[in-house]
Amino acid sequence: MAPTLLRVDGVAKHFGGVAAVDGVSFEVNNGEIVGLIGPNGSGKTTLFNCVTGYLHPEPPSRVEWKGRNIVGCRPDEIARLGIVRTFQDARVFRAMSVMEGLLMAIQQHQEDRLWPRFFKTRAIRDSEADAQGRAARLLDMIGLSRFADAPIGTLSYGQRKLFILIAALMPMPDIVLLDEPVAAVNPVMIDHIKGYVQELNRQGMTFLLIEHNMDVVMDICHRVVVLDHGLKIAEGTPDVVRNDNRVIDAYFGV
Amino acid sequence: MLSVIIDQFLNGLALGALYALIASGVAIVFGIVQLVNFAHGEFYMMAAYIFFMLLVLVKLPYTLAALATVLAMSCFGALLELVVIRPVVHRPWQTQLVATLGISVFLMALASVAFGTFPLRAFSPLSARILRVGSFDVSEQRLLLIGVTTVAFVALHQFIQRTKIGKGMRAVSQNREACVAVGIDVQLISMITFAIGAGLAGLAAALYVPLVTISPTMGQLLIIKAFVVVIMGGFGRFDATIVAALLLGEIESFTIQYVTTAFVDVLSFLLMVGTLLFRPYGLFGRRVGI
Amino acid sequence: MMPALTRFSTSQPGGWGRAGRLTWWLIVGAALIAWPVLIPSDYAIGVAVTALIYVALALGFDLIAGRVGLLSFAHPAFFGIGAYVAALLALHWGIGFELRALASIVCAVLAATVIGIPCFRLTLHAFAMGTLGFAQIAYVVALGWQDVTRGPLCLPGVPPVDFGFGRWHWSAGSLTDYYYVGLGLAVLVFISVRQVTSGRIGRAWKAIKEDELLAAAEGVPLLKYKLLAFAIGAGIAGVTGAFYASYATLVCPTEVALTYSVNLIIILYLGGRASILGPILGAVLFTALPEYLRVAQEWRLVFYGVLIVVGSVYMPEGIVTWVSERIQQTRTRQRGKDGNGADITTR
Repeated sequence: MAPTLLRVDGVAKHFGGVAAVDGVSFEVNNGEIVGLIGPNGSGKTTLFNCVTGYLHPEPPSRVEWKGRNIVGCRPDEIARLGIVRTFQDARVFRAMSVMEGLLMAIQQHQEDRLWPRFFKTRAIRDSEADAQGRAARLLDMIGLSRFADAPIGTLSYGQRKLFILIAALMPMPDIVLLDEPVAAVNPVMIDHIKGYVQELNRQGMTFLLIEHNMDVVMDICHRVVVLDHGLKIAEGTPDVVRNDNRVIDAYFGV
Repeated sequence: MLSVIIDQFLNGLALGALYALIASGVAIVFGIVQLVNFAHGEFYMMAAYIFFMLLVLVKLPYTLAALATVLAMSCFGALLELVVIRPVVHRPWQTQLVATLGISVFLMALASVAFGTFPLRAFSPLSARILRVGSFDVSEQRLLLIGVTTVAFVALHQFIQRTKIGKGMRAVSQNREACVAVGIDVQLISMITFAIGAGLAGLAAALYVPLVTISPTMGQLLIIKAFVVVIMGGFGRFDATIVAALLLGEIESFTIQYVTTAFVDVLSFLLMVGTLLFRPYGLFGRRVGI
Repeated sequence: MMPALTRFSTSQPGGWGRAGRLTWWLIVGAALIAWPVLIPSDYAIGVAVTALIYVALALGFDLIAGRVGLLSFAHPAFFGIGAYVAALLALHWGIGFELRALASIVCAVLAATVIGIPCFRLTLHAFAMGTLGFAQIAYVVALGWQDVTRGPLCLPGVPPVDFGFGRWHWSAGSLTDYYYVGLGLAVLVFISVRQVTSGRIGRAWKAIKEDELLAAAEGVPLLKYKLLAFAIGAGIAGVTGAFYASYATLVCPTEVALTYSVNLIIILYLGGRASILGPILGAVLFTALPEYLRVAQEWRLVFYGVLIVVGSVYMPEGIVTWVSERIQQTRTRQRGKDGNGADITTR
């Protein structure tokens, strides 16, 4: 596989007269953990939304996925391409059980033609069983197996963040876009989540994550991209970025 | 030829005035309480029966009957808000819709039981009088309708712009939570809004009913026309609603000369569907919560 | 270490166990089949047929209004189209019921696509209003296209339900015949709805209903699935319309009127949505209760109006959901005492 999976090229998005994202370019290569950081309002989630089809960036923005421009695609189309994202507000299907939620996360990726099957053919039953097996393994990995039948809404916040992580992994994506995976989570849980992300990365998973928690970002990211007021102000390894004056200014300056 | 056109124009104005009164009742409730009142047509129907009772049975003079109807409807609106609407305000829109649908069913059925389905008539002193201006005739009741409606809207506008409650209403329509935080009595404003909406329906009945028959289902078609107007005007924008109402009134008045009433109705529905599809912001306004 | 998996199921709590549920279904099935024999009055059977019609309609309507959560007023249009198409095919060309039913389904599904594609672009109230607009157009067409529908004069003399295969031919003669055909229809609808909602399609609808954005992020093509619910519901309404046309032998524009929308909404909000039992219970209650209470025709609607309003305020999800939630709550309270809510960090 070519090393560059995702290429954000001059992506810009304006609301009214304000540029939320003002021409940002960077790449995410296969097997990397890339961090996207910046002060509040710097355009990180807007960028995520532009990449995943929830917002349409203005021309000449390009978002290249394995070489192909995906600007203008619908969010569900982009998801089925192998790009999975999570949400800043930790959205889940509260009414579903944990197992159901995990099956939901993979089912649309299992349809080989995008047409729902009406009859429970052998193929459907097999793929459902496969999915259940995978879900069980993931639940076991994070230690939540006993919650398989519990409604997702009954999980604690930390458990929910863990659930969201494995739900993102269910469809075996090519890249996972995590929007603040450890926000408002207690320190022990943060370590767990960090550990899982690193372990999955060792197994080959690529991540692009938005985070405010600097320890996490500096610890696990191979590269960091820094945004401020919709512009990229720095990019590089954590050490480089940590000592960059522009980054320090952006966070602490006037 | 000219007289025909002026005739149609005036009829269109009268029809537009009716639509404006009804539609603004829907619009004002939606803008401030964030609820679509599917029973509003039945408010009008109920007002018509109340007016009938006062005018024909109790034999009150026209003006008194009209005022009493408006007053009675306002009280009814406030009461309804307190008893039925308040509990469902925080429920999903489908539940609210169904609750108002229930009120609509209830009112229609009650009217059928109480008055029967045979159409009734309530003539005002002006119903039969025709004003002769130059070479054309115009029904005086229609002129009254246009005139009083204009006055009513001017008064309402002043009320909303100048008075404390009116300002509160505008504030709530912009940001409900902020109003609660600031200490504005949002529930009282909701109640007043409903009272005004119902009152407008009452006024519409008192002015228009002398020209038509009264039956339990008279509000059904009207509510759909109200939706057409509100959608064309852009949901929640008051002045746009009035303009859209007049526009619809004129369109209907002119087309009815050439096609059947059924087709005129289809035309309105097509206008609504068309606006929803191609200009969901309404012909003039900006998207408000839809 | 996967005990949770073996307990996993998508259907409601099986407090009775498999054998218990099977017995229950057998009893119900037997009672339904024996109904005309047990209670041979024409009146009772007539009420039963009406109830079956509403069961079928409600199950179909629930797909879009309950499962996906989009309140549509367009359903009577599908029912009416089905009825008119079947009536016209039978009256003018003598076509047998199987083909009539098929044609009704196809036309209803086509209508659903035409109405659905534009309307699904709208949200919330606008969607309800868009469907209302289309429903009104359908009504006015039924009333006004006199050359075809004879408008308010209706289409009388619709031939009965008939099946033919080779040389064997059967046509419905008595009320009891219609009861059994209606029962068959309702059972088929029941099975189809159960099938479609218990699998991936049902899960996707559940997802769309709760959170469209999240559903899209998990790969659900929103418009396709919404149209699917709409079209299946419409098809069900269409074939039910075809049945109704023969049963009532008369098809009038009132079949396309708003009253059916109101009735279906009453049924779903009374019985419960997004379930199999909810629409069934609602339909049965709606049809049977006024008869049982001997409520006079005019007061019936007053009664319904009050019922809907009270229901919206106190039991917005309908009786079935309210009851099952109570059951769920007592179960969770029991389970909670085992103390399995511990946080991961104590592992």
